[in-house]
Amino acid sequence: MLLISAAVLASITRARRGRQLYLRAIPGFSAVDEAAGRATEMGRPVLFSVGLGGVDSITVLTGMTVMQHVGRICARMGARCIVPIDGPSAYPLAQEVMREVWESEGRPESFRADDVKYLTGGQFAWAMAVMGLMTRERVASAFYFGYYGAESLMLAETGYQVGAVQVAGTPDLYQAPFFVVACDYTVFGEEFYAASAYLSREPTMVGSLVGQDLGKMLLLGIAVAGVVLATLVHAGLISANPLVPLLSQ
Amino acid sequence: MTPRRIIATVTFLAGLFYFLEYMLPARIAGVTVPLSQWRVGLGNFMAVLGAFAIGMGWFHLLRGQWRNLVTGQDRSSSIGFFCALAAILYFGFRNELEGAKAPAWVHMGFDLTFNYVFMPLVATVFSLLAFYIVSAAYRAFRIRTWEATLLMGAAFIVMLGQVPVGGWLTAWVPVKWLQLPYLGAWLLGVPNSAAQRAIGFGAAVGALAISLRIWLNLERGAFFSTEGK
Amino acid sequence: MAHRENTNQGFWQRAQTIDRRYLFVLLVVAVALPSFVRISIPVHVFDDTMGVYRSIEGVARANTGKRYRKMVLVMCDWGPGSKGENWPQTESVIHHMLRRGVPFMIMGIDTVGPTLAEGMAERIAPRYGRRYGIDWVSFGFRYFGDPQLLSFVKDIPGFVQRDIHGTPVAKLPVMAGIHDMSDVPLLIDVAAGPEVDRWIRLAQPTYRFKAAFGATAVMAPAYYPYLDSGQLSGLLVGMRGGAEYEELLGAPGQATQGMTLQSMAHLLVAALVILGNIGYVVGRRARR
Repeated sequence: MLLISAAVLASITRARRGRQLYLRAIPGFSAVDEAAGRATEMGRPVLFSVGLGGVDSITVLTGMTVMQHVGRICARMGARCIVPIDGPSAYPLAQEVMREVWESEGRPESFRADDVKYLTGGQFAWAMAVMGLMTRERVASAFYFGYYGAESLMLAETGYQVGAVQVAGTPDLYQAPFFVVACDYTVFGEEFYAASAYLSREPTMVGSLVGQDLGKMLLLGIAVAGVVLATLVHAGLISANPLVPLLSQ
Repeated sequence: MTPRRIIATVTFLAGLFYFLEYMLPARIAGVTVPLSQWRVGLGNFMAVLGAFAIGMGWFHLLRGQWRNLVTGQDRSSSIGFFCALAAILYFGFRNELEGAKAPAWVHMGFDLTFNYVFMPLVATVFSLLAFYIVSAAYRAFRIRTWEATLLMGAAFIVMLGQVPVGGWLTAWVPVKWLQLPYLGAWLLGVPNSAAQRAIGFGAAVGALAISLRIWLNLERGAFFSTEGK
Repeated sequence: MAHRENTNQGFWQRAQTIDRRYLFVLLVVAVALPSFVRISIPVHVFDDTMGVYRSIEGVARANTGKRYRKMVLVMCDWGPGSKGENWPQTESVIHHMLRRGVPFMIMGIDTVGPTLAEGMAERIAPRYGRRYGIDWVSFGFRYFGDPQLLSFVKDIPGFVQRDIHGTPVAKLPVMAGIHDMSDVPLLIDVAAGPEVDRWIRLAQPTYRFKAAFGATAVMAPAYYPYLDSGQLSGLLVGMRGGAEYEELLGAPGQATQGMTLQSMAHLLVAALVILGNIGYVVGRRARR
């Protein structure tokens, strides 16, 4: 953990010193601008959901960085952005982020505070409320960036039924298959955590991403070394020593 | 000290506490590390903070629904909301606070609102998923590429192997590991496990990086400062 | 020939865009069929379920002849949404522990799961002469974030203080000798979410208890690496896990009946996917 943290911090430092770092394209993020723009053309609102959880959830905080980006496009183009919130502690934060976005785009009067809604804290009650919202408002684009449970497919299917372009991002794998099936673009696993770096391209964020990759290579190296040593021990070619149990734990 | 600086300092100290409390042994050179005795109190403190957060959400919900009721916009939903809220609060509190001393109609009211309305509603909504899965599967599972074909084959094996009918369909196969339950178990336990680990590594490193950024006030964008500001 | 091909293409084209409500009706028929036609298919018991069974048996053997018995912690972190999968899992493990006289405590981060688990224990306990407070206890719903979990594992009586009836922990015979998580050799977390991750990450390295997980079928594939590494000693996968456990206990119940229904649903989905792809291939050939 310390090594990976050191790699991340070192990469951030390098990036801040002006070094240009390469990021491969992720279709899900490239589609964010396009999907938000589509809503403006059609005169229908955008729906942005940060998933389940409150402000203590890292997925909600990450989702909000994407929400800010989408909100900025909506504010610039004059489209509504509806944000249904599940966790009560996330509601004031979401309100504040969207208000600041509209103000920074010079359209404070266009900001509709009621578009950021705390619906309910119950998972399925929230899901039903969002499904109703999507159907009544006939959203043109739907973004799902956060942690979702079983309601993921319900939301995605409803979005499909109303004809919305859907972009989903979730860090865990449980619901990723449902999003992949029903949404136009999906981002999952570590790509979700890379959202803020991709959308902002700020040196700190990009540097952190590169550090993550270094960390993964380190983990891969350790895993390969462990596999090789364990195989050799199993084959009786070398004797088990303190290093092998340490690597295999 | 600016508000942002105060927030950053509190965030750093809170993160540092839990990091050190987890990493340091209970005793160092015969001296007890005092951090662990604070853990229970801090945990209770955070539970109280969580309760305040629920209060904030309630306030917004009540305000929004009251506004709907007064302005006539979607009035029927708001009436339903307030009736349900009143019923469940009344019966819930009386049932909990009075316990066995509460009259029978209070227990009946609680049963009605919680066991016979709320719970079946949640179970019903969850069961909608089964129908949605069927329609999504029929619409979206197409063998457009060879990877999709491979995925389809694996899905069939696992899907049928997980239910008794898979074992029944392939009971005649002489080689045991080619029977659907065993093949499905192998797919889940070996290739799936490897893939899950790989994605899990990436997600865990990603979560570590973002946690590090928030802890050390390096996060940028949204509610954090932008570069150089 | 051309006319027949056009008709076929028309049929398959129409089948590709069929109203989904017909599919819903087909699902209802498939799931209702076993209610009218008796279908009984034997349940195969997988190793992941056996792991949970063996873990409870291990606690039962370790407690034999001991003055202070170690307890099992049953976390019921599920609600009415996942009742179909988690209810049989919870009922089966509670049944097993009551049968073998393994003391356990019930808790949960959902309001519904612990309440239903208490009902199960109250229903099953008299069969084996087990009593509340002596063979099992319930602490009900508790707000349980990471800090609370860390507090709990360090000082269990200090964290819970009273049971659901308001009885102080000190007055509960079953809690005699229970101080921290080292007195709880087995955690069984039946959950609709990834709750067991926190226990494995925060508590298991320190207290070295075994952990078993009752997961919904959607989540289960993500936990095979934990089984492989030994961090989980067993895994109950959805309703199948409950049915297999009922098979092990020789007490077929809700889950065993449900597996027949689930088999029909899976066969239907498989058939629909095949039909959909036939239509897709026919359409693709016709376009060429």
